[in-house]
Amino acid sequence: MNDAPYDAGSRLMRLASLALLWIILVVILFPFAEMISTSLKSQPDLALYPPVWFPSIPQLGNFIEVWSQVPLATYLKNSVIIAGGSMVLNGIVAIPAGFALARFRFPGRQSFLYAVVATQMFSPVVLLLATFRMMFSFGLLNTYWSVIFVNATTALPFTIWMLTAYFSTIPREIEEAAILDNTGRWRMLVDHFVPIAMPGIITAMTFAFVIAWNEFLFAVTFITDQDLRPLTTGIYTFVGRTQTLWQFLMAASIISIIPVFLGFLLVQRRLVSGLAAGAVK
Amino acid sequence: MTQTAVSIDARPPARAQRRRLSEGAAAILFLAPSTLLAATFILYPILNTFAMSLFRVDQFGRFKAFRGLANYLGLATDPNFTAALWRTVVWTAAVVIVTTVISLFLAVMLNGRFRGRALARGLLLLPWATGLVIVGLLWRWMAQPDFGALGHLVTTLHITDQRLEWLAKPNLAFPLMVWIAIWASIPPTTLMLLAGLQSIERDLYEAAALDGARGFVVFRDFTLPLLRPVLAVSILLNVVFVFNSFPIIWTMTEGGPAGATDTLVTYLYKLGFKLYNVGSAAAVAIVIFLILLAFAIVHTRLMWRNVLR
Repeated sequence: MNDAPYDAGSRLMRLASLALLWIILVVILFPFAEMISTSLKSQPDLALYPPVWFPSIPQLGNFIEVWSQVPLATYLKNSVIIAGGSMVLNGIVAIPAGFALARFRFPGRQSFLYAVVATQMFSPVVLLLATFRMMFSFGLLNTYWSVIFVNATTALPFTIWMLTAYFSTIPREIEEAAILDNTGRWRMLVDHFVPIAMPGIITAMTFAFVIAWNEFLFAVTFITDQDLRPLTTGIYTFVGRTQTLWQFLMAASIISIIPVFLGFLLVQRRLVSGLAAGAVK
Repeated sequence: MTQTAVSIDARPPARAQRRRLSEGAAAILFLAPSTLLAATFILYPILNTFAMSLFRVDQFGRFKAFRGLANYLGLATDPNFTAALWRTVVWTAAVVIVTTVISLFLAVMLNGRFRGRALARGLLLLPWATGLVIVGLLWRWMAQPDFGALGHLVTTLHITDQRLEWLAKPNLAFPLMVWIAIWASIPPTTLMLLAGLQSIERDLYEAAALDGARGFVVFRDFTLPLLRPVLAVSILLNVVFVFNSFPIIWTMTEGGPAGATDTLVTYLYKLGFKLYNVGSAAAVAIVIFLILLAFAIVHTRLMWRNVLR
């Protein structure tokens, strides 16, 4: 960690910059205050103008009632299955790939890495029509599998890239010890590298999980069955019926943000440098 | 190094050969699953989309009649398409430029020492963790014309006393959505640039201070050049993410009213999944693909030069 030492001369500039920093942070966080405030309001409170920050009686009960107002438990379960499934599938294919790219020397390695970087630039929407057609002909529309496959693939270039960068940092001695033991490459990965690379793997898998957790476009296109909808599309369908119950919508949103926020807090530093992988070296 | 090489060579070669595959063969096995997944869900769909763009395709994805380039020519003469194309360019440029400038400022500040820095960093994770659907819905509520916070804010600041139908007026809705996309892009960009700043050696700043450089000069002559690789990566990733962004516009206006806030992505979606004009939608997909391919080439070149030695 390197802290840039401040120039003592321009105290005024520094104060002005700090003030600007906090103003920007307040502007960024303002909508969340609104979200929390709304989630605690009663129906009459919502229709007050001017709006109040603090409802007369905070309706903590909204967070209980929301489970019956919206099929939140179903959405939550679907999101866990979809994001968890995408993460596992992604891990199964990305971990060996990252390992091979970081530790093996073989012809075509550079081109493969090149392809991984280029794939980061693909637009999910470009793939939407053809993957829809594919899911339709496989009979996979309205199944978890449809979105699991696509989400795992979307995150793949990023996770392979992060894992390759992480596996590259592991000292060569580990490999040499394993070679001396005459361990096969697969065992070398599972027994020696995976335990050491666990922080990097957790980071990459958090990323894969969050991509799938927040995904909307494929979910709204592939899954129309109310019982299979994840949180994103489930919450969305809740809007726009005769009268939107915003307090429950906001409560449901808060509930859906919590797991991701906690995951990010856990891996924040590595996730960020992983995304910028290599460029930050 | 040399010692290990000797010890490997010292082992009976026949045994080693029998036990292990060559690195090349092993690499094929280890890379096969990811290659298979990418080939099935990225490569094949792109080729398939290209084929669809040359045909009339019905809503079940059945190829009907070969149309040559007619789908593309149809787009070129559709004013809604050209409008959406320009709007996408404006959308992407505005969001990425403003995001980068603000994020650069935030990252430099957060790299310095001040009271509450850890809190500020932690709080930045919150908008990042929030999926764009929820971001869109949250702002839609704030833009509610009667009880929404935005209307109240505008009135309190004495900008106007009118009741504003934020989402029904394209000249209000589009700038609002640009702002929301900026709002959502700032946290991840800031954190990425911060990671870049933290990799700059402290010694360099001390050397700069010894040279008598101060304040903005340090930033311009030392920080910025060293940060350039990370800056380039973050700009290009943002270009791709923002260009492709679907949820904000879809949850706020669905590209409406009457297509006045469509970007290429929402335009494609409506063409393919509401109007069932699948062939033309595929042509839009190919146009998006080609535009992003140009970015991909630039991006890959940069990554190649900066990262892979």
